[in-house]
Amino acid sequence: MSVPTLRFNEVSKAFPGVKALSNVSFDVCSGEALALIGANGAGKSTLMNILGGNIQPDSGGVLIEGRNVAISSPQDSINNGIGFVHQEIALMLTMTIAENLFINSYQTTSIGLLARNLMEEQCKTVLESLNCHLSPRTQVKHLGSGDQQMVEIARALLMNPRILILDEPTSSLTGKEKSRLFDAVAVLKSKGVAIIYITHFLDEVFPVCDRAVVLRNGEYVGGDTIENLTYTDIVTLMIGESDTDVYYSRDQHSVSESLNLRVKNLSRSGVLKEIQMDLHKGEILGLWGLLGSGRTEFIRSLVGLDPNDTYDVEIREEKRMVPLYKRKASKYFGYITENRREDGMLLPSSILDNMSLANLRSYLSAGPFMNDEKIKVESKKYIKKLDIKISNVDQPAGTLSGGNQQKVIVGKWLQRAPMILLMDEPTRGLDVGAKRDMHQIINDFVQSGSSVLLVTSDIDELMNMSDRIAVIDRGSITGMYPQGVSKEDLMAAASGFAKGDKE
Amino acid sequence: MKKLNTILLSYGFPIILAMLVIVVSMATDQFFSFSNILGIIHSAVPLMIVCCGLALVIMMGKIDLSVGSTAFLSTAISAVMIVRFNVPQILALPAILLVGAAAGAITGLIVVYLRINPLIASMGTMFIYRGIALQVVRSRVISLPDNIRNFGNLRIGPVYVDILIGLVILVLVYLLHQWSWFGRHVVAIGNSEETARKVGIKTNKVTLLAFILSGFFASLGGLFSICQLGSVTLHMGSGMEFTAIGALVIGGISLFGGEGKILPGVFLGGITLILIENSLNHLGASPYLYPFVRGGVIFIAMYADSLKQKLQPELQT
Repeated sequence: MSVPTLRFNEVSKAFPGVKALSNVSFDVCSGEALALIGANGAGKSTLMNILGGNIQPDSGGVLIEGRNVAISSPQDSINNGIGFVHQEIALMLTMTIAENLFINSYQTTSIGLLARNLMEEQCKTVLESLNCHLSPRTQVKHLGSGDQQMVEIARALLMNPRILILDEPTSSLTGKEKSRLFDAVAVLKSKGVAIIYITHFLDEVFPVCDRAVVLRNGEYVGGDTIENLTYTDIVTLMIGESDTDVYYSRDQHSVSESLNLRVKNLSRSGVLKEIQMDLHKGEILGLWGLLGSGRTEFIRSLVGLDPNDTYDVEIREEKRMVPLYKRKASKYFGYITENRREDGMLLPSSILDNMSLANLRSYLSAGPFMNDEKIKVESKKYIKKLDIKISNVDQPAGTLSGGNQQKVIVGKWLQRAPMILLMDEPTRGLDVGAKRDMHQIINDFVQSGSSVLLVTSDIDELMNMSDRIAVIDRGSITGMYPQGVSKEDLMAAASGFAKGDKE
Repeated sequence: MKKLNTILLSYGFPIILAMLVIVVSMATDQFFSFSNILGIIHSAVPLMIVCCGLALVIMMGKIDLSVGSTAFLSTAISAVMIVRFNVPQILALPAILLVGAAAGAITGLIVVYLRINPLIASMGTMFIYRGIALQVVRSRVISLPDNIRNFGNLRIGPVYVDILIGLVILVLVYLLHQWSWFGRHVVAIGNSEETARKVGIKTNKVTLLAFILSGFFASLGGLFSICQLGSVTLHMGSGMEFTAIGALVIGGISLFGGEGKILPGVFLGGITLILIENSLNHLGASPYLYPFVRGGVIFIAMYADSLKQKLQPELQT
């Protein structure tokens, strides 16, 4: 075998408290597409950031065509022939394709004006090489997301890269657009470009890639040519074995027959496809899906934060199910968001302000004035109940640890006692102790007849906590599983494989 | 249907403008005469030139409220130099542009390095520049020598010379916006400053440069204005920032940034506001009505702009 185009050699990187990569080594050869696979937090992004010059490895390095290269800046990365197509599209919508392609390397004529003809010609050549017949003068805003993705790839190709990284390139594409992308990948392979294809969707790996490499918890756990792999192999490598005893195990289950919520049809074109689900009284329903599967979008739509095409939802009012109108939705739901520091709490405000935030109306005393005493008493009750560690209630919420911040947010909703609590990654970034506490809180909460919709990337947490598990993939519910379902089944359903069928 | 909406939104203003011209021409005798039309363009030239620089800032998604005060300050300094200190005009008049560029640079530096919101930063400099200018002229109107005024109203045949100069300036700024890396980077920042930074655009440098140009063209517009009037009044440039913003929005330059063209945008926008006042004048309307009508027109233009933004995602597919 000849010298590989790119070799990762014993790459290690640690961040405070986390070992992001440990001794990762593998090769990518000219003219092949390598699938880089791993769950969230497996180390894929760190590895790609090292390649992009954004992060320096602690030890080990990168070899390009057998030579050791130092990549200390994004410019170094480009100079070494590495092209990136990022997951989110970074194009200027009001500008033309050609202007976008050359955005940072405009060619000018002798009098300093843009050499548009020259650039447009080159632009056309690159687009044609991807079988993409667009006029370079088209404004990007008039393109569909598939064509925009093509423009992104064209921009990366302009530098004649030897190595091209495609990071989740299909996350915003439709079926037809995907097959065009796959064709483009084939064209690039035939030109001898080495491609690293990062994806969560295993069904794309088999038709597109020649080889797959799997990372888990920052380690290289396996890799082989695609012919020698089945999707079960990959899934097993991705999940691995883990010890579950660090997790809280629920002893009481309180699911009742009657419903709290019935989603009959929730749709939003391009994002959510006719979502249906029931939520019983006292139930914890786990919602499992990979990044970009539409799980957060579903919750946001359900509470009325995002627009919908169809919003057909029923909610329990006393003993009956009645239609829920979108503008009334916030009355019934508590929503714990994914990014607590950004949209979950007011970091500079006091704990007291944060805890009373969702329930201000009930703290009115005479007329429009707040009853501070009542707020204090109520909040303190929950601080005690949830065992939140604080020095005093006027302390800014931003000074608390992550676990305590999350408890403040939960406490805010518990005061309101919503019928349904939507929790998006409630334990992300918390240590084991805080996680256990959070699980206990969730468990206690549903005992009273409320329901929880739990979104989590932590598969063990999901399996321990949920009464049922719904799987969401690319905006539709692809499976509903009872407690005790196997990890493999969940992984498969979320990665685009229905149960049983495989390559 | 969607197509019709798009057409109306894109060309709505030229259509209304044309209708207005037709109606007023039929209602009055002198309005639709060659000399009146030239007169309208003549009086719109200073505004258009101020708009040239401001347009660059607005296309970046930012704002510069200090343009009116900059025009006042720069012309005030120059007028005092000429009238009180007998500085030769050949030195004093170009100094206007230097002062303007410096004033723009100060606002730009505040925006870029102190990270102050452009609205607030330029509002601050707006008050400060006007305050300094009032000190400079000691709160008195300064009349300029006759030759300056004569130049401002010089004609070749029926055409005012400053119209010709103004058009050349518009074309140059059009080229700067449409055909130079700087102009394209301005538009890129208007699309998304964050993305622009990520793709390697030197956003600070471009922002600063745009503010300098904004000050430069504000003072150039001021220069044209004093040439026409022959004096620096105490109201010089007062309210001009809002008239200019209104003209730009009418000309299709979006306050959301990234959208719009110098030609015909600035030309059409500048002329519309002056033309409406001129037609009101010809129709014999009360002068007190002018601000009201101007406000209404600006409001409609802004609403159309925001509608366009809202329709954008639909137009995309």
